[in-house]
Amino acid sequence: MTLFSSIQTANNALLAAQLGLQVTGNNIANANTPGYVRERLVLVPGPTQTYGNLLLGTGVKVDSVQQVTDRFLEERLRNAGSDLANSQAQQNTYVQLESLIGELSDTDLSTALTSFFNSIQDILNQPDSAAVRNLAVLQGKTLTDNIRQLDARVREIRQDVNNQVIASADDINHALSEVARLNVQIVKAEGGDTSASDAIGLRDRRTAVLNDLAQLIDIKSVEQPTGDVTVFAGGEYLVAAGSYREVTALASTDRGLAIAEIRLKETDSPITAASGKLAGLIRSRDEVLGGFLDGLDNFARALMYEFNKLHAGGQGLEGYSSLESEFAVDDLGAALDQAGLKFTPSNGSFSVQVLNTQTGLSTTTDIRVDLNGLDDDTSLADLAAALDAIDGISATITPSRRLRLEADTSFVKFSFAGDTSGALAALGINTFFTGAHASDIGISREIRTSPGKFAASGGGIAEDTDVAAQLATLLTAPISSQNDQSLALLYDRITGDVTQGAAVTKSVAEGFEVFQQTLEGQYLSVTGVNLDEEAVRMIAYQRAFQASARVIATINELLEVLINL
Amino acid sequence: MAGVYPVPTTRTSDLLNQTRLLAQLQSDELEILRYQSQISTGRRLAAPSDDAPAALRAQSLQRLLELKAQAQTNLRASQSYLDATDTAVADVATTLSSIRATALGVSDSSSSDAAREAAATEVRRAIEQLVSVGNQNFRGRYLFAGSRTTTVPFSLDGNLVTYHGNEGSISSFVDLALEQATNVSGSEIFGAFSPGVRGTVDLNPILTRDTLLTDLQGGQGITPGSIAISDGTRTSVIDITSAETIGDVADLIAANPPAGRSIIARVTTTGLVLDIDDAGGGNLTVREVGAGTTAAELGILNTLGTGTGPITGRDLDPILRLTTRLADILGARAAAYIDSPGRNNNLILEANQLGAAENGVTLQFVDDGLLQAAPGLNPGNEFATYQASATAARAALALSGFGNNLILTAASTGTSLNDVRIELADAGAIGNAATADYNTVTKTLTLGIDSTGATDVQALLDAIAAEGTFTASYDASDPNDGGFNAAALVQTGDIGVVSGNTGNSGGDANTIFVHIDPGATTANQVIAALTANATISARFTARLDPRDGATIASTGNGFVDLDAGATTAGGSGEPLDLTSGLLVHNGGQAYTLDLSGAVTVEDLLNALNGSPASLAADIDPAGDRIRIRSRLSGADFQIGENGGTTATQLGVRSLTHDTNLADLNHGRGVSTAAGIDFSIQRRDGTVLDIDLDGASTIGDILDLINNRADNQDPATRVVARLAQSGNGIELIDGNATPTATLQVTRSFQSFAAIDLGLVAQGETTTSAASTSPDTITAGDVNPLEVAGVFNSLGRLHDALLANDVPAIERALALLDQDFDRVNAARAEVGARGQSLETLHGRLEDENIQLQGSLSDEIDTDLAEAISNLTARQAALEASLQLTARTFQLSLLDFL
Repeated sequence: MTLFSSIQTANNALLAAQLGLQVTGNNIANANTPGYVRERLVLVPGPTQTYGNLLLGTGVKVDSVQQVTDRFLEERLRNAGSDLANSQAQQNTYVQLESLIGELSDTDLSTALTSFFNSIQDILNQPDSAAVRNLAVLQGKTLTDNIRQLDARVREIRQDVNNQVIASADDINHALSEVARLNVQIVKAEGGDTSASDAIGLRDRRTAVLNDLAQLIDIKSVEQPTGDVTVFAGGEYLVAAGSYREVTALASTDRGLAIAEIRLKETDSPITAASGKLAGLIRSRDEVLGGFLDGLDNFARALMYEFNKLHAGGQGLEGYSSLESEFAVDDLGAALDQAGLKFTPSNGSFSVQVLNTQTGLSTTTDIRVDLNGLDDDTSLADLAAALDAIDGISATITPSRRLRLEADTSFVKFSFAGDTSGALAALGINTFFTGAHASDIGISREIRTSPGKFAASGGGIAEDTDVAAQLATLLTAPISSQNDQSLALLYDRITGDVTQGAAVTKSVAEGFEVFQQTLEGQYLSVTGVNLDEEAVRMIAYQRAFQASARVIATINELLEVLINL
Repeated sequence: MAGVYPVPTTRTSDLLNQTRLLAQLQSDELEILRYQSQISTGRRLAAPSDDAPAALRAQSLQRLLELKAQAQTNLRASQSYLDATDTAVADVATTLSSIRATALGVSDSSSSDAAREAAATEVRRAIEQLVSVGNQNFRGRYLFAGSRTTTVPFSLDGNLVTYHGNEGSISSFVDLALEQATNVSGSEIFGAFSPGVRGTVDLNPILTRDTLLTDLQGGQGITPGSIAISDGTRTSVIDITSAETIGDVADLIAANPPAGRSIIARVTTTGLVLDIDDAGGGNLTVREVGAGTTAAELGILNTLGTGTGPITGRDLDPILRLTTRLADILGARAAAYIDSPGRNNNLILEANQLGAAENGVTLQFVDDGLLQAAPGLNPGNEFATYQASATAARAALALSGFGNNLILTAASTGTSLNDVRIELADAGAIGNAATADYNTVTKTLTLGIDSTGATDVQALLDAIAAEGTFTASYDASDPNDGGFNAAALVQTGDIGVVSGNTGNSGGDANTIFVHIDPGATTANQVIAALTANATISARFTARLDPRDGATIASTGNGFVDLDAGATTAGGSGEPLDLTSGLLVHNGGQAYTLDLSGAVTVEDLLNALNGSPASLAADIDPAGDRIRIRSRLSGADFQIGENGGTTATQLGVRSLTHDTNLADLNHGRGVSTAAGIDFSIQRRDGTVLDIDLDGASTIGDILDLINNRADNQDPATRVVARLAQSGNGIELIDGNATPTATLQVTRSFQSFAAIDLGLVAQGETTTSAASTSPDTITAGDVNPLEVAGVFNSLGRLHDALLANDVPAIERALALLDQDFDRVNAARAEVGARGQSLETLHGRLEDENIQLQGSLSDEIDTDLAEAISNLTARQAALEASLQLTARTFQLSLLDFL
């Protein structure tokens, strides 16, 4: 051993201290950089050398610069991020949906619904007034407008959510290509597993990209010994080393709306996202919004059909001299319950009353709607023939396969009564509501132009108010085809589902947020820069530098002594 | 509220400090914002999901409030109508009491004509005034028109007032599901209808396949449910909830028999008949499913079983509908069900007319080939004959050789000698002779002939005649046989080869024989044969049973079974006489109502309602008869026959056998005296003294006359009956050799004959007119009238002018009844108003309560919100201070 070797040892220590200051400085500089993982200089004692029978240290050796992090925590944090993004996407949808429904306000659908049925009660108060009936028709129009608007707006939101799904394909591809690119760079920088140091900036960047990707879909990333990560999603690998598989948004149709599904471009196999924003969007689109649209449609159909069934068996202040059914059948010869009608009639009967306005007398004819499925079930052609056989009216089938009824003379008016089959409502004869879905519900043109045709009477034209009394209580009356639920209950269930879903999603999102923040706290406590700590390190390195310099000075003095000999 | 997450214990970093502090500040400020909006909007919930259970409760509370608000509106409307009604009714009571006072003042004989005339004028004015009250219109509604609120309810013509409204009620929902009538019909207050002429006749509509289930059991309907049908081993549960008509029920049963079996379910004129195929054996039972009552209500519940025999359901008693055909009431048509085994071949033979007369007609299939020596008919040539008297069985014996074909005819008529077999046997060497022997056990007629073939046909004829069960003669039906040859021999080769059989050829009286080719004649051909016979087709119609058809096309193509005969049964009643119509007297006018065009009950009602006789005809609420009332106040009203039986059949005569004598003459009754009340002089000069003591109805009087021991000789008797034309009692003396005039003379002390209309007021005797010397027709003494204000006033007016004191008294008594009615109606209106008042108060209370509950659910508790806000503010301030301080602390400061 020589003095020079001691100088060298001290020199190593100087270098180590300088590097230490460099790393500390970098840490301090990045104290506020999000996603930055603090670094640590790894020092090891220098190798020993033999001096006689002594083994002497050769000072300090700088081993590597490493990131202080916890890869498992990182992965868990990413997963928590996926879950949070998932629930937040749903929560956003619910917030929009809730504000659209606007329940608990004075302008919501339930108020329109009650107002409509209340207006029918007014008919009971003044059955003779056509103006009051007109008011009921207008309230009905408000109700149907509201239903249609709600349906349309929810469809808009759904379209918007779908657009986000489509856009997320590009985001995923972008992230995947970035990860693949960084994989290559990191491996290059770190030289595979030959270097103990981490490729600082690149790794931070990759972690950030992976986090972004995890926000979109729930991924699983596995770091290989060489430093690159392999990314999986739903059993399919997306990134391996420097290559990645592109995804694409495939269009299909659901509930009358174009929807997109994320698939692998090369194999066309779907990516099943269980979490992440994409999963949240898809659930929002298909279950939250789709389910709401289904519920609204079911409610609107129940409202239309049940109301129309009663209305079709009633008579207004005036009778009909001609009318054409709203709905067409697919097959004139097919039984009415299999003829492709929007609503399905059942086995039953109804009556047709033909009023001679000159004598004031009416004749009733019972029309059987035989749909017992056993023999010779009634088709539209049969029905037309039976109606045509009634004195005073003629029934024809139009080229568009609709039923047309016409009074033979101007002083004959006809009306309908006691429909137990629902055939009139299903064909759209003497109905109040038109349309077959929430998206096209409306008020019959016949009633709109002459509100006197609102069928309040059950015993003949302008005779009584039996039908109106039934209609007025329909809102809260149990409906057998809906498992004895009333219309009010059906509506409450739709909004209740949204409210409950929103409340649940909100609390789930809050839970995930707390969890994610807890994990992030843990993560930051490991990876974050603590300025005080760095300051301590800084002083330590400074002192080490000063001490090493002093060692060199001392050796220098010793050398001087030797030289001056 | 953002959650609070734990502080990691090992280490901290500046970034962690920052994030945590920022999160803390965010959460505080967010909460402050939330309280701020709660306080400023007054709503605890910004969105329903903030507190889902509360929001859902609030939603239903809101609806309830909205509905209750409407109920209040309804209530106010109802109240206004009732108030208006009350005011109007108050006027009626006042007017009536002033009229009553006036009339009482002039009701004694001492009042002057002028005073009475003045009173009559006052009555007349009162009528006009009350009509205008009755026609009062409030808010566009005629208050007293029943549910016909747009019709002017009363019209005045002379003193007669016609009511055009009905008895319907207009009701509003004054609370959820609480419907209350807001009107009192004119008939309820003023009295506008006469008592209904509602006879004793249940019109008894028959059951058809199209009868609705809801119309069965007197309108009670059938509880929807399931029934279980079992053949003893396998059970089929049939859900009939989708059935609309009884035909549907039959079809559903036929379509779902126990596995492997077939059931024919038919609808007869009264009920269901279920018949299981005989081949599978077993025991047919029909049971309820669970605790249901459907099978019992359908009348086919039979838990003991009927073997393979049919289950015949009980009478399902459908009610009358407007669309019920008049041909389907008042009894049933006789019918026979001709059931051949297999499908596509069952027939129904139904009488064209109602009535029991067509019962008991038997249809028999006859094998045409057995009836003559010539070959039987070919399919397509079937024919039918109707035999009113009993027919003897016969059989042909086509012997070999020429001139010897025989036809044997039973010596006695009827079916006893059907299926008798005629055989030839070897009687040994008996020469030209024959033996005949009839075995009643085996039903075989054995003819013995000479073993060498020496017996000639004459010997055989003689032997048959000698035996006596049958007579035989030559059968000339086969021209190839060449004409009778008494000496033609009976060949021994025929023994055991040639035979005859009487089959179904014998019949009781009233039998339809259909000659068929067994195994080749189809049901359709049988129908053609029955239709071709004019005698039969005039009385019966044959049709296929579509239930038996495998497909529509194949129905009727099946071969009928030779032994599938049947006898008509179930015919009852008699057809409704629609040709003569009704004779209605109303308002002093006679109207003949022509019902000849009526097909349905509604046509009948329309003919009545549409006539100018001011009638209100409808189906009685009980659903089994029609009811005719008068809408015309102030006049007498009667319904009688117009020469036929229509009124009696429909049960709408205003005077019937059951009419109480006490009700006659507007309730004045028939005043009888002790001893003889009147006497009838027959055309043979005999005088019948009639004492009405003990008679309480019109029928009793008729019986008194008709059942007298000295009035039974058909040649001389006088018959009392209800008039053929109009109403009243009619005496008929059809004596062909009259020696005296038919007369009714009242006894001196009794007014009974006058009260019965037999003798005119002020007379003592009525003689038959010379134009119809055999008849005395009494006037109708049971006039009906509207029980009501306008009737009473009209009568009073007329009585005052006529100075008819008893009539004035009667009118005053009627007015008293009107008083009661008006007061009752007024009390009713008052009670309804009262209950509405109570309800109003309750609704107000409820409203406040509901508002309170709603407020609890969704409104901000200001005190709580403000104190929370203050607490948060303090927390935020502390956070801010802390942030500032901790960020000041750094080691770097001390270097």
